[in-house]
Amino acid sequence: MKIREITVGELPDFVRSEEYALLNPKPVTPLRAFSQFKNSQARPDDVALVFAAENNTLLAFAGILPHKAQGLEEPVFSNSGWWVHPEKGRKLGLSVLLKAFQLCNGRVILTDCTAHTQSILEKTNLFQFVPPVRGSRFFLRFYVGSLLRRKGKKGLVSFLFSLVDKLLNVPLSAWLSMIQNRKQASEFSLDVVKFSGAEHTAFIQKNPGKSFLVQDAGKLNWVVQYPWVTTEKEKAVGEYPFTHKVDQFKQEFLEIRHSKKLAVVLLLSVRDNHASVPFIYFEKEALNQAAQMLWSYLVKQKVDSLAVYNPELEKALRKNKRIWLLRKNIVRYAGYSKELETLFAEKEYFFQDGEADVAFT
Amino acid sequence: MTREETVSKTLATFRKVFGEAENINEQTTADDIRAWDSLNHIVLIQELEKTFNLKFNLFEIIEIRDVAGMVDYIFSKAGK
Repeated sequence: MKIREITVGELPDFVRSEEYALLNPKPVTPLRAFSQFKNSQARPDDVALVFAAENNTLLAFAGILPHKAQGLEEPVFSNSGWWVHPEKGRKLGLSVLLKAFQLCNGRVILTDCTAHTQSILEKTNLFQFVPPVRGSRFFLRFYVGSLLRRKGKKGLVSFLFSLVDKLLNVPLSAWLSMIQNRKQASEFSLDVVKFSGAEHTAFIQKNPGKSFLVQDAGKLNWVVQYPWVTTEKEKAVGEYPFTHKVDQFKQEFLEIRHSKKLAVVLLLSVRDNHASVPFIYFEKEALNQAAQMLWSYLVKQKVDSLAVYNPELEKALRKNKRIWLLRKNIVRYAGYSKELETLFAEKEYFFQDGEADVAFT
Repeated sequence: MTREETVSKTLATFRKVFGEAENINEQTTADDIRAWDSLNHIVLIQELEKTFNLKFNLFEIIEIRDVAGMVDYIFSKAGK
């Protein structure tokens, strides 16, 4: 059994190597590897991957993503994936993670954990968790048929449900469009834009929220240009334990202007017709109207649902109960290593919805 | 604390975590106990810390995969 460490600078060669070709499953996809290689906030020597393997069988791995944090010279690192072979890797899982933790000098953030992962990591006494991050999934359309198809049920039942969905969505769309036209404030405008130029950069610098990680144009453009999922079936790389193939994935920057003045910039991500807002920067007074504009845009795009953890955007969206078909509470868990405890104690930092690796998938 | 006392208390803690049914002795390794995975290793460490009223270095103790090694490690800390 061997434990290997791969740095950011070594990733492209690693995914072209014979060692990688023989490994099963893979600890990283070429898409992820090249994306991480292009991370403008990473240094070539930063650790990107730690894995354990024996006779070409992958036993466990931990993916690492470096970031710049507010006011810090040295980077912090997020865990971009932790996987353990269900049979052969059970005795190694934590060793691999702790090895990665050491290589990150104990400067680790966790932005999107499950309750199970939190309970494991709490036992190590290396991490401090913030209270559970609660958000909402807002449903805009009926999609039981496509849900069944994605779960592999492609027979008559999913066909019939798709038909029912279509029948219900026709009057629903008409009703939503009617409300939407009534609520539109003419002094606001929404456009799909390219994130570039001094205006956008100055705007996010002026409105970073309480984000712990540095927000800049380089990072946002990197997220959009180098996603970790693909819709191209031929790019399949063999077995990989996390999602890397999807039916549909689209990311776009939206700007909302109030009387022609920039009021909101956000990144909208739509995967398999479900939307999220990985990053949002806003003038507080414009947020309620912006939430309305965003909703109108999603209705036009015929998106099935929108998941939001950002507390201010979520509150703004919930203000108008009539616009959603249904709302469901969602929760995720976030934390940081005790090495970073004093920083979080001094300021009320928070993580954007797409922070760390979330926006890439 | 003598080494014998360390062995006795360590074995009792192992049996508490993994069950009396497991035939645990000083020669037992992680390969002999199916439930001794890395997560239960953490539970075991916590129980040993309580038993011996000590704080262990997680990065040192995580690599110890047999009872004898665990006894040696604890004795090096508790026996001082």
